[in-house]
Order: sequence, then structure tokens, then C-alpha cells
Amino acid sequence: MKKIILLGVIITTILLAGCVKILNDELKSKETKLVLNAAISPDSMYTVNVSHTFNIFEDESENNLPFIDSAAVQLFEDGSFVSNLQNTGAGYYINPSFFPQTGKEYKVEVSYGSYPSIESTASIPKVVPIKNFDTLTIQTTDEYEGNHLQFVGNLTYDDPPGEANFYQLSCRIIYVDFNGETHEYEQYIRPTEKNQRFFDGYSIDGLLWSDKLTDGKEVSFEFIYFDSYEYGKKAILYQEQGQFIFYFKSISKAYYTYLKSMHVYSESGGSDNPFSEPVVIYSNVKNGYGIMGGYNQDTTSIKLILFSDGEGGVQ
Amino acid sequence: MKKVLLAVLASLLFMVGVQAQKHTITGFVSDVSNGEKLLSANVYNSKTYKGCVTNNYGFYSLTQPEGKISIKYSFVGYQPVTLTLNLLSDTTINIELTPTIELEEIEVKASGIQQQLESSQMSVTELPIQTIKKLPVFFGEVDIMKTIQLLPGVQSGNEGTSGIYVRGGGSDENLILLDGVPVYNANHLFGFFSVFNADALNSVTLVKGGFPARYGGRLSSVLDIRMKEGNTKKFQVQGTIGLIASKLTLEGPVVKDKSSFIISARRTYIDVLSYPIQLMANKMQGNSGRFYGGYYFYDLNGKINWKFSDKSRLYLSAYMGNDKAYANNKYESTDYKNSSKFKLRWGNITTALRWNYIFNKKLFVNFRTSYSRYNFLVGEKDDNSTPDLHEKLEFEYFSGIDDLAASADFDFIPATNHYIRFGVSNIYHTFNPGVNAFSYNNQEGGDNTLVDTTFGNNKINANEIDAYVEDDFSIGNYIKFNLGIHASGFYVKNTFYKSFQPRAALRVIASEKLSLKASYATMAQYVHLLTNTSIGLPTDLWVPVTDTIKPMRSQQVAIGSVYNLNDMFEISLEGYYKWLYDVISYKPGSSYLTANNDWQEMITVGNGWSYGVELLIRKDLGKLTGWIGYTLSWSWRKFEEVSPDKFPYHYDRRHDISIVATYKLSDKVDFGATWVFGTGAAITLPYDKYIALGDYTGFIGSGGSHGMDPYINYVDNVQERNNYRTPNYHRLDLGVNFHKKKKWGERTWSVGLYNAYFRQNYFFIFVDYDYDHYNGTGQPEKVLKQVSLFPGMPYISYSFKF
Repeated sequence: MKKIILLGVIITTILLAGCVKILNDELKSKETKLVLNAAISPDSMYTVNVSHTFNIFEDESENNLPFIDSAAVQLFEDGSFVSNLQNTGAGYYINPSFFPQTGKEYKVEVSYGSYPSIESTASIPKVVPIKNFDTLTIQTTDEYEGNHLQFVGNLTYDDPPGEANFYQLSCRIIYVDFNGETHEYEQYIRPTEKNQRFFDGYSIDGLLWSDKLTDGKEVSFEFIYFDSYEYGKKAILYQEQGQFIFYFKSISKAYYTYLKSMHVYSESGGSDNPFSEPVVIYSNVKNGYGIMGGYNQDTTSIKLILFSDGEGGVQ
Repeated sequence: MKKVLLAVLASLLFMVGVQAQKHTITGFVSDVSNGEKLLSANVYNSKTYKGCVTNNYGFYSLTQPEGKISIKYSFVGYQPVTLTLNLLSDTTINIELTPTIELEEIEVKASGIQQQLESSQMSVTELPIQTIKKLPVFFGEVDIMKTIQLLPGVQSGNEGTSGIYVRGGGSDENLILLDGVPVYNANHLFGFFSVFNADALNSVTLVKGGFPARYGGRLSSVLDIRMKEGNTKKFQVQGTIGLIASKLTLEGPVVKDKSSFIISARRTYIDVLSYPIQLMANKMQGNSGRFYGGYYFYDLNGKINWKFSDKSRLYLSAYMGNDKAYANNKYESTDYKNSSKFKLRWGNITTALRWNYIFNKKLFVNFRTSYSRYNFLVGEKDDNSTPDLHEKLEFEYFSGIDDLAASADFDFIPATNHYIRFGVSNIYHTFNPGVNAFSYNNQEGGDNTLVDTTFGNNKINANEIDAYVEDDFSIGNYIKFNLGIHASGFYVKNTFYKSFQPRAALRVIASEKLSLKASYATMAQYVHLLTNTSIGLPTDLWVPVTDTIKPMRSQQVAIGSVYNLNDMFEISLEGYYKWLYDVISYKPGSSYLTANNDWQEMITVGNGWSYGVELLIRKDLGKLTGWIGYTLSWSWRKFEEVSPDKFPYHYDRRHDISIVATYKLSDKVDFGATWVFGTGAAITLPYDKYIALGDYTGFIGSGGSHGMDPYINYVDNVQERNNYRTPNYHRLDLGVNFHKKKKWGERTWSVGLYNAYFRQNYFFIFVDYDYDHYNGTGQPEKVLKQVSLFPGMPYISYSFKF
């Protein structure tokens, strides 16, 4: 019997035998490149962020952030030079007095040291107004641990006919607590069971979709707000200044493509998940990486109240 | 296309011509020692060298002019036999050849080399089972798939696994036939062993290109495996006891020279051996918890045949194999009981009933009905109870494919210079692409919650029909063609796909020692395999083409030559170019783990192409036998949704070398050695990363004007698919067999070492921290780590035969 056990131990050891070794490959990037990121809208001064790629093995702690603060960043509008953007630290470059406009094309050129110069263009689509916004079935639920706020929202808009349109709907809450401190949090919203296929993705960035099936039509859909971290309930608690803001963005095609690839990337778990297929993040930056996207938004905000029985209503 | 078909038929009939004053010799060629039919044995006129080879049932038909002739029968590893006869009428001659211990060079002229020279077919390799058995093996288990991997043009999958990738094709593009019935999953133990038990097999033939019209349904290769028929002369037992598994084969006559059978079984026993260890561990743990887990696989092969007459024979063959992994956990305390059971099971069943009938001296027919099933099941049961509550949860996921098939295949041999094959077949597929069954029962106090539901993909029924005609014919003494057409249709969900696939092969005898060959083949495939590309998990999901996912197609051209060097070495050189259309891949970000849901949404369609040169130097006779194979190849893929540029296929392997040798020192001792080298696999690794615009407002980090918490969103920068080459693969395996005749029969001890010089080959690569080295900021350095399996695995097995 002992021999059998010994044999079993040997076989198990053999089966499980494996070894890990460190490869000396350095995975040297072909070239370190500049990265440009910006999402421009008429509501904000022109702001971009400049950084550089860095090796997968490099330290990514706060001591080694790859922002570049001494690059030459030039802004052009419809081909005409506007200004150099001023650095404000942490890789940000702004023109505090310049707000981009709908229907114009903006180009940003960045050069820095021996890096290949990069450029990207973006334009801002027209705003698509919210036609109607409703909230339904406001309630608290203990579906998951805790006591969370949940409601169904309904958005209606008219899709402009004859053009490709891309949209994003996101939610944020803002409240001021009793100490006078302002809090802002992005909030998750998600499709309902029935209309999941309508959307190309949803995340903390909101719902993402295009008009490929709804060109020129009045579009109305429902979505679900779920208060995962119970910030929504705090917003109700501080109801004088607490509000839910919904941002209905009309976004450029490049921005949409980028957000879609980012959604796929985050859903797949990136390179931390060995079983998923690799994802290439979309970029519209020539000779570099990143995105310069344009958006135009209509917003609506609501204030909610909760009754003692767990049901709620709009204030 | 109909016109093309008619033209081919008309030309075939024309070329048949009228034969005058000729008679036909028909019969079977078999092994004298056990009655096993010899497939692809040579039968030819020893003066004109014109002849034929036996078909898959050992049958031949040779038409010769009237008068005195000499007919030679030969087969590799057997003493050739020459018969001189005065041919005055049609006659039947059944020949039994005697296996040789060692052949003198003079006797081997008309061996396998000559057959390769003569044959119009190219890109074909036949592997004798005896050769396969002599080679060093993994864990002592003879595995034909691992031997196939040693052939040029065939890439292996991950370390230790049995998958094959032929000329840049995918693992699902191989038609693996066991007695003519497709086997959908050829893997045991997560791909480390194949399902084929060598003791039950008669022949193994791999076709990589130049596919004759009789084959269809897969793009890249046909692996035609034939089971033994069973010893018709005497009852025989053979078996092997190995480290992992043991097997036993019984065969013998049911009615001598009329009927025989073979039954072969194999089972692993690590579950049995590990049970006492687990028992001890549970006892040592000392608490009220109990855990038992295990894994085993088994397979059974059986075949029986009945010879009604010289013209009529019936075969019934069956294969059944299953793998099962399980884990059972129990916990009991005074106020709480828990029992959980997990199981993972997958397996194949194939059965075939065949009837061979010789209608007349020139027409041989094989009718076949078959059933094939592959299924996969994963299940979990959980039972919790307290004094107040009783909760039961059951979950099962299962998928699979069932095939019911019928076929008729005809061999028509109107003259020595024509061998016409034609036939039809129909397969009724039932796909079960992933069904979940869930039940939940909760009894708490007086309440009873009950959920019992089934959800997932619906069954899909499909019908596949095939027809073919081909003629292997000679023009003069030097030129031989194999022309044919394979037509197929697939009906699924009110959509009918059809395909006409012309096939052509040409052989020109350039000299007594050299023949030149060329071929063209198109293929179509109506089933796809959704599988992970890295690990051989059994979650493979076979799915049909749909109204949106088209059939895969391929075209392949090849040219080559066969040279007979000193009647000892076969030197074969081939170049090929293959195009693959509408092949599938997972979309970026998709994972096979979630492929069961809306699988069509997760795949993307693209094209591929591969090209290369293959060299094979093979020696089948003498004390030293074996081969050297070298492949230089490129394999590319292009999927618009994956990458704007072409990228190398995961199994793209620039150089692939195999050296295989067996040496017979004496009747008591023989050695085997294999050495393989392959360029590393192409995998995707991000070389760098960057900050992405990812947060809500479009700003990044603490410098943003929105005053939100600092948040850096890094993304891995993967700009090219399969941009990294894993380290080159190489491995040496050594083995030795000690044979001894005993009073009761013969025994063999086999010992050896897999991966003899302990090479750590790639199995999996990932980025991780090296906690032995820290950078300037006190963080552990990031490095690339490689996981390897099976460094230097010894094996020993004991075989017996009586």
C-alpha cells in the first residue's frame, strides 16, 4: 500500500511539474511616441493633455508619470494658426480665452525634443437637444447587499436625418454636504434587458451608441440608474443642493470609435486576462497615440426625494 | 459548373477506352500472421511495372493482357511475393504476405518509395503503426497524433498537446476519420493525449494537400485512421501497463477465416492512485471537512466483421471515450451541512456499420451508416442545510454535436490505367451550441422558493450532402493524373450553401528514380470550432455556418518531387501555396470563455494564406529507420476587425525540423529518438503603454480643472497582432524497448525520457514583478516570465502479447 501511495505522489508531482523562468527579453518598443488626449466642446476652453508612451516594464507609480510639460503645442482653426497652448502642469496645455465652435475643424500640432511630431484634427458636431426626459419607478432595492437607489430613466430625441450621428449619455451627481464641501461623482447607468443590443457599450463613461439603425427618427429609450456606491442617496439627503445631471452628448465619429474600443478593452480585462483577444485602442493622432475628440452636449438635471416606504419621486 | 462536371465525366469515360483480350485479377492482400488486410499494398506486373494499390479494405483489381504474366505483391515491412500465372480468364487471388524481420536491400526495390514514385497523389504520408510504437513517447503513452506532429508541414500546438496545424490551417480544419467516421474532439486530458489507442489501429494516413475528390468537409488535412479488423487466425491478447494508463486488447476469430473481432480498452488511474492520499490528507486535517477530487479518461474500441462470401463482408466498429474531472467537497458541523460537487466531462462516440460488396471484378462498393457524437458537460451541485434552511442549487452547461450519416462509395477499375472512385454521402448534424440548466430550491421556514429553468442557444439542425467522382488514370508509362470533382451542399436555417470543388493531381515519371508532381485542390468547410487558441481545454464548441457566417473555403496548389536514393531513402520535396477564405477569429476583446452566448456576435470573418517548402528524407528499411523533416513556411491572417494590416498566424513557424530515428540493435533491443526544433509561436504582447482619455469629463489626472480625484487610466499599447515571438522550441526524446520472448508470449519493457535535456519550452508568457530586483523608486522590477511544462519527464511501461 505504501508503494502505491508513493507512486501516486510521484505521478502527481510529475503531472504538476512546471516551472517559471524570467525571460531576458526587454520588449523594447520600436519607438517611444507622444500621446495627445483631448475632448473638446464649446462649453470648455481649449485643453489638451500631452504625455509619452513608456515601456511596459517601466514603473508606473506617481513618481514616474509620463506627462510632458515643455512641449510646443500649436492650435489651428480651419487651417489658420490660433495660438500656442500654455502649459499648466501635469501635461495640460490650454488657451483660457479660446472656446472651440461647432462646424469648424481644429488641428493641434505637438513637438517635443527628439520625439516624432504629432498632430490630430477634430471637429465638434451640432448639439442634439433632449426632447423629453423622464424618470420611472424610483425605488430602493436590496437586490444586492445594502439598500440602493434605483430608477428607470427615459430619454427622447430627434436624430438628425441624412448624417451619421454618434451619442453618449452619462450621469453625474453633485451635492454639497453639511460642511459646505462639494462632491461630484460619475454614476453608472446601463441599458435595460430589452435594449442592450441597441448600445455599443456602457461603462462609467455612460451609454454609447450610433444612429445606424435610427437615422432621422425620433428615438426614445429607457435606461437604468443604479446607485452602486450610495452616492445617489447622499444627493437626496443633501437635497437642497444635490442633483442628478444627465449629459446627452453628440460626439464625433473618431471619439465614438475611440470610446467603443476603450469599452471593449475594459470589458476584456486588457492584457490581465490571458483568455481574451487583444484589443487595439483606436487613435486619430498621426505619428503618435491618443485621441482628440469633439462633443456637444445638452444636459438636464433632476432632484429626487425618497418616501419612507422606499418608493421615490421627482422633486 | 454542371458542364464542367459533364465534361470531366465524358473525358473519363473516353479515356477508359475499350480493352481487348484482357482479364482481371481481383482479391485481397492481407498479413499471413493475423489476417489483417494490408491497405495501400502494391500489386503490379513485375515486367511492365503497371499495377495498382489495395484500397482501404485491402481489395485490389488488376486487369492484365491474356497470357503468361508475373504479378508482384509488396508492402513495406513484408516479404514481397511474385506469382507467375497463365492468365486466361478473370480470376480471384487472395494473397497473404509475411512480415519481415529485416530486409536485404535487394528485396526492397518495390517498397514504399516506389509507391510514392508511382502515385499521382502528393502531400500524403503513411505511418506504419509499428514505427509509431517504437518512438519515445510522452508518459509512456503511444500517441499517433504526436507522431504526426513530427512530419513536415504539421505544426504542433502548445507544449505536450496533441493538436495539429497543417500548412497554416487551424485545428478545426483537419478531418479526422476513424474508420471513415469524423471524430470531433481527438483529445484526452486537456489535449495532452489523443483519443486513439495505437493497439487497436491498423493504419494512419495523413493528406496535407492535393486532396483527391473523395475527401471533403475540411480545409487543411485529412487524417484517415483505420482500425484493425481483428486476428482471423488465432486469439491474441496484448496489453500495456504505463505510468498514466493501462490498456488491454483482445482479438481473434469468431469463426475462423469468416469472422473476427477486436476489442481494446484503455483507462488512466491517477484518480485511483491519488484516492488514498486524499483519504490520508482528509484524516490529517482532522476537522469534519472532506475533499475528494480526481480525473480519469477511458476509451473503448471494438470491431467485428463477418465474411459472408469472397464478395461480401460486413463490419461493425465502435469507439467510445470519455474524460471526467471531478471535485467533491463535504462539510458537517452540528448546525451546518454543506455538500458540493463539481464535474467536467467530455467525450466522443462513433459507430459505423459498413458493408463491402464486390459487384463484379471491376466494381467494389462500400455502404456505410454511422453515428458520431461529441458532448461536453460541466456541472455543479451545492446543498446547504441548517436547522431552519435547506438550499439546493444545481447548474449544468452542456454542448455538443450529433451526426447521423450514410454513404455509398464505389471503386470502379475498368482497366489497369484507370481507377475511378465515386460516391455520395449525407450527414444530418444536430448542433447543441451551449445550453444552461439551472435549478434552485430554497426551503426556509415554511417558504419554498423554486427555480427550474433552461436557457442558452437552441439546437440547430443541418444537413450536409456530398458527392464526388475521381479518376486516377495513366497516359502512357510516364504520366498519371488524378482528376475529380467534389460537390457539397449544406442546409441550415433555411439557407442552402453549395460548393463545387475541382481537384487535380499530376505525376510525371522523370526517370526511374525521380517523379515530379503537381496538384490543385479547393475545399469547403461548413462547421466551425470555437476554441481558445492557447490551452487545449475541452470547452470547444462546434457550430455550423449560419445565414451570416459563411462557409470557409480554401485553395491550394502544390508542386513537388519524389526521389528514390539507392532504393533506401525516399527524398520528397514539396512547395505549396494555400489561400483560406472566410475563416473565423474572435473579435478583439472577446473570450472563448463567454463564446457560448451570442457566439456569432463574438467572431469576425477574414482571410488567410500560407506558403512554404517541405523536405522529407525517409528511410523505412534496415536497422536504422526514421526520417528527417524540414519545413520553411509562412502563414498569415487578415481580419479587418482585428488589425488593419496582415499579421502572422499564431502557428506561423518559419523553421520546423524533426529528426526521427529508430535503431534495432537486436531482436531484443531497439532504440528510438526524436529531436524537434521550431521557431517560436507568434503571440501578442504589449510592448508599451500610455495614458488614455478615459474618465468622465475627458480630463486626465490631478491637473484637470474639474477638481476630481486623481485618476490615471493606463492602457496597454497593442498596435500589432502577434508581434512577439516566443523562444524557439526544441526538445529531444529518447527511448529504448527491451523485448523478450517468454513461454507465454512476448513482453516489452519501454523506458525513456521526454525532453531529455530539460529544455524549458514556452507554454505561457506573462508580465509580472521580479521580487528579487527593485528599481530606484523601491518598486519591484517588471519582467517577462515564461511558464514551462514537463522538464525531463521519464517514463516506463510494460507491454505483453500472447
